Amino acid sequence: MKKINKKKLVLTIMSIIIFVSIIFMLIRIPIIKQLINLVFISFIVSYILKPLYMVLISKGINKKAASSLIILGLLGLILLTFIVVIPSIFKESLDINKAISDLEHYWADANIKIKVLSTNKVISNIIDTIYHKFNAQTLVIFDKIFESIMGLGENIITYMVSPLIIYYFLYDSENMVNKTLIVFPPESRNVIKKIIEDIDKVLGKYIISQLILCGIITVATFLILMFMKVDFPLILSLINGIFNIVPYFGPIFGVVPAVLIALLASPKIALYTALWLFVLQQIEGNILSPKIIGESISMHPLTVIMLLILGGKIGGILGMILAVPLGVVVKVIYEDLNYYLF
Amino acid sequence: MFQLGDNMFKSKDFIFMDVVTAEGKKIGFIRDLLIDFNKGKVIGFEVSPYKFFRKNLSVLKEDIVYFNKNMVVKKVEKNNYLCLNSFVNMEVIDKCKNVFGMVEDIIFTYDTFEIKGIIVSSGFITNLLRGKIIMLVNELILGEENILYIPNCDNNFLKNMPHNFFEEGKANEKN
Repeated sequence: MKKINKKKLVLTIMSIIIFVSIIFMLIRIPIIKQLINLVFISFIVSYILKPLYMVLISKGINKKAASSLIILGLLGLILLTFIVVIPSIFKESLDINKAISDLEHYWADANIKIKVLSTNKVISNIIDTIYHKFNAQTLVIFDKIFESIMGLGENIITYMVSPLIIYYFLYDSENMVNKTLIVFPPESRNVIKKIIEDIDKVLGKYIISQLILCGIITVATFLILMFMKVDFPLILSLINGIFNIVPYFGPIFGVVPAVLIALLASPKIALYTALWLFVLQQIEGNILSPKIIGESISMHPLTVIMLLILGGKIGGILGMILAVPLGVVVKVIYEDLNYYLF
Repeated sequence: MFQLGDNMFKSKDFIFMDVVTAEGKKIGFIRDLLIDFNKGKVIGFEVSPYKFFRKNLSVLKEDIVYFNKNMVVKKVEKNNYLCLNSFVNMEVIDKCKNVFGMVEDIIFTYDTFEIKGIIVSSGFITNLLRGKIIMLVNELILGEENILYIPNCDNNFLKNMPHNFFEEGKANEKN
């Protein structure tokens, strides 16, 4: 009995190694990499849209109609962003030029004040280094943004297919899950189905709650910035809302640009903006977030911080956003194995 | 050897279950189990409501109409009871301060909700090698920081051994 088991074990390990190495080789091919990217993005989007789909289904609309409705809504939303939001962002970013020149003035002013200090060689050196580093960093960031936009433009035809893929992910997901389970041996499918169900439960809760929180934060920030008459409320509130997905570090990244822009108007406004945004973060972090996210990810804060640092190192901001959900998935798998193994 | 799941529950079978009133209104989801340690019974469930600014609710066992994927209840109440999570991860020790491990979960029957055993885990690798210990609830005394184990007789522990969970159905057939 034991001998057969050993043979089986070696076989399984061998087949897993071969499987993984084949996947690695395939990923190296650019076309397949693009395809995987496309499917991955569509999968995430359809996963985010799934709760809406379920609501429509429960209202008594049939599957095909519900998925087509959602896809139409999505396309409408994208068109709306192109028609309304992007021009307004452009308008705002035209003003950004002014803001940057303002910043330069500010810098020059500060320079004059600092000149007294810069007779000291060490301090002038430090200021120089900071200035150059800052310049280089901004250049790199803008380069990256430009490059990613260009990349998106290059593959725009590929990405045009993604609504179609999302449609099928929504409409036919059960069938697809069943088909993909063919990879696993039949006796294991029951347990794997249960594990997938559990992941779906926890992750679904997490995504919905994050979206709600994001929306609340964006709207609240927008209102605060409008009320304080800070420039570019739309961009800044969107930045704050998106960064808010990242726990602990996110709020800081989100608030800093808003405060900097407010600083251009006057230090007093900056102070008040910072104060209000701080209050908002406190309300969000202490009252809303525990309530909405709840126990869906009962993870220790230290684990979350470790995950965030790891994600940030591997994949930048996107890594930080994806770190917690991936961590949740791993945790659920561990817990389920722990449950079914004993 | 018997299989869990058919006539016994663990806490995971209930966590995240939606709680619905008899009229079909969603109240919230189950967050925790409520336990009477002296009687050795699960007396109900703690429910985290979907509405904002609401405190956690309790559902007692006698108010449960039915449960499968959702739980249908007659009424909820606001009293506080002892939760399972308040003593999960507590250490189990005996009179000589020998540590057995940490409380991980409970096993209870499907009809009377009587707690049959408390699963004590001693760490991931040790679990795989030696299995988890299952202790009887009437041999345990719940303290503030630890749980005291007082054996009634010189029986060996019940063990929860790792098994090939892929072949649940086959294992049943063989026995």
